[in-house]
Amino acid sequence: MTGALLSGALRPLGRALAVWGTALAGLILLTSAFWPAFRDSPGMTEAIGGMPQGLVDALGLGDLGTPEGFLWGNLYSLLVPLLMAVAGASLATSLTARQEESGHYELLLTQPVSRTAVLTARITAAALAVLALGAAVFLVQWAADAIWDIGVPVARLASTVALCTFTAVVAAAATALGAAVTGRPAVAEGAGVGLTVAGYVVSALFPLREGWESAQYISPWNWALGGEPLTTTAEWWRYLAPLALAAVLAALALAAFDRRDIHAA
Amino acid sequence: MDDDPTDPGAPSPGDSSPGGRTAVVEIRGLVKDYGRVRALNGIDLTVHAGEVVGFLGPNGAGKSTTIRCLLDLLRPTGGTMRLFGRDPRTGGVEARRRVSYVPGELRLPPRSTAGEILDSVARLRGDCDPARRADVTERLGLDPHKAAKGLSTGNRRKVALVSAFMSRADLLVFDEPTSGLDPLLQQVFRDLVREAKARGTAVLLSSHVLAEVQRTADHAVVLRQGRIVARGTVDDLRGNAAQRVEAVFPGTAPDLGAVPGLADIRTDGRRLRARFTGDPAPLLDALARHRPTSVEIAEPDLDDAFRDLYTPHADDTAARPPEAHA
Repeated sequence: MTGALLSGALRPLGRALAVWGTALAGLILLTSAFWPAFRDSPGMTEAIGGMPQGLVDALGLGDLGTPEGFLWGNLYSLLVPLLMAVAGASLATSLTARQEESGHYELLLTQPVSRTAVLTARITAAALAVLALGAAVFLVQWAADAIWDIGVPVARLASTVALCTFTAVVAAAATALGAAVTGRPAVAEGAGVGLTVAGYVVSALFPLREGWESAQYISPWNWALGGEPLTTTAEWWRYLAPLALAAVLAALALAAFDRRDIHAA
Repeated sequence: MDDDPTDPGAPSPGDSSPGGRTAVVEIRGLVKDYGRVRALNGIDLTVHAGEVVGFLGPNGAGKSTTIRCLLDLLRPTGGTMRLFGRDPRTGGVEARRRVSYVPGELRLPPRSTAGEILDSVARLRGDCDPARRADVTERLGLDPHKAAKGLSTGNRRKVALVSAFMSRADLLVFDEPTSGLDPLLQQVFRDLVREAKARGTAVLLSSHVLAEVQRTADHAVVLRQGRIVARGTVDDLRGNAAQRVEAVFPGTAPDLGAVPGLADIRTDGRRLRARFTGDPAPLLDALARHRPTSVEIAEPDLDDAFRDLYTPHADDTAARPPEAHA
């Protein structure tokens, strides 16, 4: 039964996963291909040296001349985790609120299955899809590292991509909660993307204002990526905290989904 | 159709009515509010094993809402429901093992083929009869290899009908099952319902088309604005249903106001339109005397048939619906 629900949820995801995977791979390969040029032009680092330190930190431009700084500033301080989170929110929406809006839930939920089993399968499917995307991102980045001789330790790459992936899992779980409470795709996707963007803003911009620095620690984005995992080995809790938040959001989603009316087509 | 308001109780699974028949569906005083709008206002409905019950009413009367409450898609505001003796809210998974449902507005996953959709329903239900699936697929003329997004309304309906009839469910619930089907397929549907009934399967058939219910159901319940306005055997209801009469005369249409059973008479030159209930002999005599050039006495559509029931009379709403207990 659980297997049937899970495979039913996973089957239609292939195409969307391929699109997101291709887009992220393209971004990573294109960006990484510029590394040799960056390495050989010290002028770039000097230009950044002229900018205010707070802005440099906020934009993740800390040290573009080093391999870690280059990848962090161009990809992992914002673009890759943000895109992965948007992918997670989008995949989770298509598995939940979009199904309800288009009336596909009607036939499914009138079968001898519980709502909890259906939503559990769908949240699991979304999480598996995000993990698959994370695995693809890691493999592509690892390959790019070898091709253009970037030279970031593979453990740091794995850790960084894992933390980006967990950020995306949080976005997917927030999406599932939005879908479970309202059944509306816009609200669901907005919940996932909104939490991610708010987390980024709090993590990256609040520290620039005096007195607001400590606010960054309420941001799930900061939990995962606030330690700059490409340059510093991430503490264990940075993996655990986003996953714990995702679990809480998923549990709330299951509770909410079992309490309301299912929308008709 | 028992309708005993003194017994809103919670029967155990397999509980039998006084007549010895097993109640498959028991709904008592069902109320559903959407915000400040009351969609259902005290629905009582019982379906016994092996019984075909028609659920009639115009669009928006609350038929789908009742069904969706029974299947736990909607959470009622008040009242009690039992599906195979279980509360759909807490025992719905077990109860729905014995129910197969065809929604009125059917959406299918666009990229799956009809066959794949039926496979996934079969996996979820676990009670499907492959021989019956092949038989129903062939009789409805469904091509299982077509992708759902390319299917017409009628073909999507066929997928849903196969999914219902291939199961060994003890209750089939259909919401507007034949919309989009041509007359030949509607006949196949009626045959399939009869065969299901012969196997002891109960059928709840919601429709706004009187003729459809008339040809298949033993009993019918008529809904209007969230209330039951009539219930009884199909023949009882038919006797109360007004037919539409239209006649054209060579000269100015005569005054037929004295004919018993004729109401809402409107004349327009040579043409007369009216509604008719009761013994047809006096009407036919009266028409014949005036030598009409054409006469049409049409099967009433539901709104016509139950207009009297539908028009609220503040003084006697409770007294009027013809109650017929099976």
